[in-house]
Formats: sequence, structure tokens, C-alpha cells
Amino acid sequence: MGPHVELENVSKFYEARDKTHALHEVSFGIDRGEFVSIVGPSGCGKSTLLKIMAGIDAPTSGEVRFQGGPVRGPHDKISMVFQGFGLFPWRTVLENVEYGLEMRKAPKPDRRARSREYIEMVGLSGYEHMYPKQLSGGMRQRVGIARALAVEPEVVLMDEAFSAIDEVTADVLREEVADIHKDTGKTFVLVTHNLSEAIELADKVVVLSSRPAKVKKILPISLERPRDRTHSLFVHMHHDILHLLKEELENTLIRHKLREIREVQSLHDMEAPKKETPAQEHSECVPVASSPTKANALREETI
Amino acid sequence: MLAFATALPIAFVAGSKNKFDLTFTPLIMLFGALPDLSFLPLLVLWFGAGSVAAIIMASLAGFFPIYFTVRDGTRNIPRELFEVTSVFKSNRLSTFTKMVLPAISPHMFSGLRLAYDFGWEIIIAIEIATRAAGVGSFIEGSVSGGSLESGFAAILAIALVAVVVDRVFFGSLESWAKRWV
Repeated sequence: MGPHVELENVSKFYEARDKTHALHEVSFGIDRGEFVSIVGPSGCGKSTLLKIMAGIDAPTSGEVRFQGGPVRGPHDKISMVFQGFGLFPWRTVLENVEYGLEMRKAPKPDRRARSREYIEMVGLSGYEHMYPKQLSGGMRQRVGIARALAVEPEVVLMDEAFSAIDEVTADVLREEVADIHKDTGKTFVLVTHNLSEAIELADKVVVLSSRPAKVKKILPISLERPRDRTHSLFVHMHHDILHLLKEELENTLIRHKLREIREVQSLHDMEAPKKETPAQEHSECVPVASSPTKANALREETI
Repeated sequence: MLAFATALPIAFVAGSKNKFDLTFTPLIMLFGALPDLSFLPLLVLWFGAGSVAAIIMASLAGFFPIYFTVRDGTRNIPRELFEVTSVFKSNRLSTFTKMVLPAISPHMFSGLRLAYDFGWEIIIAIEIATRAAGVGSFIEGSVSGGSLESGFAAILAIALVAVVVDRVFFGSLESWAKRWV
């Protein structure tokens, strides 16, 4: 049996904004019931990757497969939890949870009953008729989770799902998500920049490089659950991933420097012919003459 | 009503399609910048001094507040909510009726209220100017006929009607639309 979800050479370019290369041939597989965390430097395209997995963004090349079939749009069995909760403020808790079922044209009594079940699962019984505005951030995300689960997906995608919640509340919610994962056996994919969170929840952590994002490393986490953040292996893992990410950050810095130097150089090259005209002989760009060689030297060093 | 019916669809499109917005909104702004009543002589010429001209004039005046509030309302819908509708496979129609429409309804009602206020002013002004039958010409007639009391009575009546409609009708409509805000 192949992986539940499989990414094969997923690449993404943005046409509009100066042809940004966001993802570069990202490939990995996710087994059924596995919890996978995706971490990477900020702005590397993690969220884009998740949106591609959700079918709401298309890869420029490569493909995402779910149970062997390509994902070419939103899928009934793939659901999502959003960073900003994504709740409709004009709907009550119950109505928000019902939304997905409503879009599937589930009969009203059915979706009522099913929504109540998931509202209970996330501990929001008694809040059914409140509006999102009346709830705290943690409670709002519980609604988001209940809505994602109510459509009975096989894969739950979570985009920075705990990032907009205060730390203590997020901690409790993480434990509950871990329980839900254990109880339901669904496949979970979490995009996060919080390394402890990634390790705490995941069976494996996918570390992406900086833009264009490639898979830098995949680390299996075999620690016993529930996980103890003070366990020495946990601390080790955290340290390793942090190191990988810092390395990426430094690479980016060097790349930026290089680009700057190249830009100066190309400006210089454009000015260069002018130097031959005698009038321009003592122009300001002469002192920078040494930079091309410096740039070349640097380039050789990094390659 | 006419203003509402014309402004709404254009504003929705302008709010959701950037390209359209870029070409269309400056054009509308240009018209909006003109004092609305400057069109009156033209309208009277085309439609005669009667209620047709008054209605068209009022719609013209009501168009702008509705257009701009709805356009801004549509633009301000968070992107994430559109992603939510995609993930849960909402079709275009239900995205519109279950997402865009409720999201902008508070803006829409504010615009409607403004348009209504403008409309009143314009209609009275037109009636006075064209002497078409109506409260406006009644005021004009009583004042120039020396009967200030009935003129004031008419003004008071207008004020009362305006307040009642504003409070009772729009007030409750708006608070209903904003129940979740």
C-alpha cells in the first residue's frame, strides 16, 4: 500500500510578482494516520505547500496524490484548519461548524446532530449559539477544528493553527489535537514555525529550506507519547532542527549579499563603457572597480 | 431603490475584480465629484419637470454612497474566508449568498441609509425648483403665499417622517445586519 498522501516534485512559481520561485521539487510521502509537521524559515512557502495539498492552490509542476489519485482541486476527504480561524462572524458556533456539511447538502437534522457531536469533542458544548466575537482565540480555533472534522475528512491540514493563540491556551489545545489524532486515526499535516510544537505532535518533521523551498531533511520522531518537552531526546531534536534552520537562514543571508554584489557589479558593467570617454574618467564609480573580483571570489567560495 | 439596484452589482464586481475596479472606480469618482444637482436641468429637459426626473435624480445621488460602501465592504473581506469557501467546496452562488452578501450587509445598509437621506433632500429640492406636485412645492407655495405656518408644518412633517423611517426601518435593519459585529 502506497502512502496516503504523496507529493511528487511539487514546484511553484508566482507569475505576477517578479517570478518568485516559491517551491522547488518538493517530494515526500505521508502514511495513513501519520502526523506530519512541516517547518521551515519564515516565508519559505510552507503555507503555499499546504494550500496545494488542500487543492485550493495549484502547483506549477509536479503533483499531490491522495490515495494514489491526483489532487486537482478541493477534495471531500481533505479538510483544513486556518491560522486566523476562518470563521464566519455572522454565523453562530453551531452554524460555523455546520458550514462544510451545508456545502455538501447534508440534510439539516443530520448536520445539526453531527455538528453537535464535534462541538462536544472540542469541548464547546453550551456555546453553540454564541457568535465568534464572543469567544476567546482558543475557543474560536476549537470551532475551526470542529468544522474541519465535521465533514469527516481523512486528512486534516493545519496552517499555523496554534500561532494566533496565547501560549497557555495553545498548549492545552495541542494536547487535545494529539488526543483527537490518536482517537480518530486521521492523517494530520501541520505547518508551523514553532519547533517544539512540531516535535511534540509529529511522527515526522519535514524541514524545508529557504526560498525556493526544497526538502532539506525529514526527521522521524519516535519519542513516546504524550511527549515531554524536557526529555533529553526532545531537547536534542529541537536543537538539531534549530541548527538546520539557522544554517538556512545564513544561506539566505549569503545569497542576499551575493545578489547585492551582483547588482552593484551589473550597474558597474553598465557604466563601464562610459569610462572610456575621457570626460568620465574620474567618475564616482571608479573606486568600486574591485567589487567584481570580490564577487567572483565569494561566488566560488559558496559554490 | 433604483440606485440600490444599479450600484450593487457594479460595486460587487469592482470589489472583487481588481482590474475592473481600477478602470471603473475613477470614472465613478469623477461623476461623484460633480454636485449631483447640476444634472437637474438636463434631466428636466429630457424627462420633463415631474416625478420621473425627481426619481432619476434621487437615484443618481443615492448611487455613490451605496457604490462606495459596498465596494469597500467587498474588498475588505479577509482572503482567508475565501479560502474557507474553497476548501469546503462552495460553488459561486453559495459563496456569494452565504459569504459575500452577509459579510458586506452592514456596509450595504449604511450605504442605503445614506442614500435614503440624500434622496429625500434631492426630491424636495427638485419639487421646489420644478414646482412639481409634492411636499416641496407645497412648502414653496405656502411660504410665497404668506402662510409660513403651513410651510413650517410641512417641514416638520418631513422631518418626522424622515426620523421615523431612519430609526425604525433602517435602524432595525442595520442592527439586525450587525448583530454579530
